[in-house]
Amino acid sequence: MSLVAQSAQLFLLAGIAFLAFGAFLAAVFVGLGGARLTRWEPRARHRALAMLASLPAASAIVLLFAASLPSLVALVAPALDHCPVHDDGHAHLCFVHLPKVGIHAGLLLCLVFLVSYAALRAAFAASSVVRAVRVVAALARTGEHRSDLGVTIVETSQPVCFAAGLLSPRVLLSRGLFDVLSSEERAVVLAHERAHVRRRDALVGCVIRALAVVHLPSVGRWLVQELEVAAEQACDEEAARFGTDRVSVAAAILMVERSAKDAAARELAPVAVAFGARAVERRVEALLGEPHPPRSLRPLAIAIGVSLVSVLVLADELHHLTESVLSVIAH
Amino acid sequence: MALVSYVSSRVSEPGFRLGLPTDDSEPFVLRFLLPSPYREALLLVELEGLTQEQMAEMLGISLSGMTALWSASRRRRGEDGVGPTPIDGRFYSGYLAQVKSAPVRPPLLGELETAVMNHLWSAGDGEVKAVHAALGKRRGITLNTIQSTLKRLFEKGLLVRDKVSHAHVYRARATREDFHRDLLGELVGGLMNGQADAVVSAFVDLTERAGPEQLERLEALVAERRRKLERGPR
Repeated sequence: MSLVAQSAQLFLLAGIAFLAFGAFLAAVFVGLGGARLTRWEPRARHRALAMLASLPAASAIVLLFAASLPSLVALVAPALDHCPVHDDGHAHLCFVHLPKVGIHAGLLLCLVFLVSYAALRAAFAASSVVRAVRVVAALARTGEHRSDLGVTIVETSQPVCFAAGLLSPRVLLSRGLFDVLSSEERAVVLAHERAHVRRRDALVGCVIRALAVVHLPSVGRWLVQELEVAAEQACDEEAARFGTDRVSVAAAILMVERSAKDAAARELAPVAVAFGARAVERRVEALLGEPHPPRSLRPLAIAIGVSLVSVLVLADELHHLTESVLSVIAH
Repeated sequence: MALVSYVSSRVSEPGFRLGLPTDDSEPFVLRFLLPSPYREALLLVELEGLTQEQMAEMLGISLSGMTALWSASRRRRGEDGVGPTPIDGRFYSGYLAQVKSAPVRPPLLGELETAVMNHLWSAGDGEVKAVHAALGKRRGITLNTIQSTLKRLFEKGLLVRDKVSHAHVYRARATREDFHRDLLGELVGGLMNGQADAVVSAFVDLTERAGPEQLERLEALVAERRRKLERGPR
């Protein structure tokens, strides 16, 4: 096997280890502060959750960069190269001195399996997303555009309203819901959906779902659900700010939920009482309660900055630690 | 489903006769206790001479699923002199499980195809020249392009056509409402393994509903708060 391939294996292995470390860190944070986080004001909560969701990926990138920093330095200034002090059996995490020994065959097999599984899953998910985007586009092209309301009316009696699309999201409102809602309720619903469009929630949600895959399954599910609720609540707050008051927003949510429930009861018998139910309850209760003051994320930003700097300062130590751990597990 | 209404309208047409080889006077497919729209689909293959491929596409099931359904319907009819005629639909449970689990995927249209469908939905029907007059001139495309688009849509099962003197008159097989319902069904019916949620932010969750007591409790809370507000803010 070529030396380059052996080196790539080591980097990949290190990357996966860092990813796992990030996922572990995120699980610890969620375990310690998850309950407290759910009481935050929705916009700050959404941002904090998004940061948590991207923690494994971000930490893998940062740690991999920091761990290969000494080798990058050696690439630029050969005098600073420290690799010659190691023997050839050492797992060099290095672009200059390629490792003489590859990783264990069993581990290699696992690596191949993991990478192909991830690629396959990503391909399936991507094809579904592409199809969903095309379906949304087909609905938008064949629906009736109401430029006075800024929506496309979809010809169906099912009472639904949603913002959809990744790069150019639009608001779709079904004829069924259009007929049921009063003009005041409609204004609330549309203000909410326009807030989704402004915030690009669909795009953010899509990225977060992709990032959630590397978390522990339970943590990933929790993050995606909480992010959705936070996005909905943030849009509720915006709708309340532009509209009349918070109680009307709560009333509109219940109105739409009620008609969706009636329609569902007409068409299909089994009705799941699950996440959606809790989301409606939380949204309505939050709107009826006192609004939370906006929360600054500066402490979080400072913490991230400090950990970034310390990782870069400790790059040499991280490099050696990673090489030692790789030597133990890879051979 | 458009298919169901279309077939029932065809069957109820005056002078309608089934040219099917049946053991008795009753059309055999109608006796299958298949749920809609599969029953109608089988009938349509006989009625319209549609290929199984076209049928599978209209139903949004795989070709192998359609073939299985079709060959079962023929075999069970007792065509080869073996086996009983199904009355209770039990024979189909296996095939149905296969067919039902397949997602319904409405066909997606290109830009010109969409424009043609939009035109036919609002105009009702039209021959090639009329469609060209409405769409082609503005876009600077030829009659031939419009003709092939109409033909393609016909082959996709979205249009039906009648021959009036020398020209085909096309009209939409399904209404705009049916088309939208199928598209929406794919988006919100959980058919995309939840991936559709990623591009859709619905006002209330589209697939899961609050429980009845919960909804009533929340509605009471809102009503109470409204009464308080009406009494006047202090």
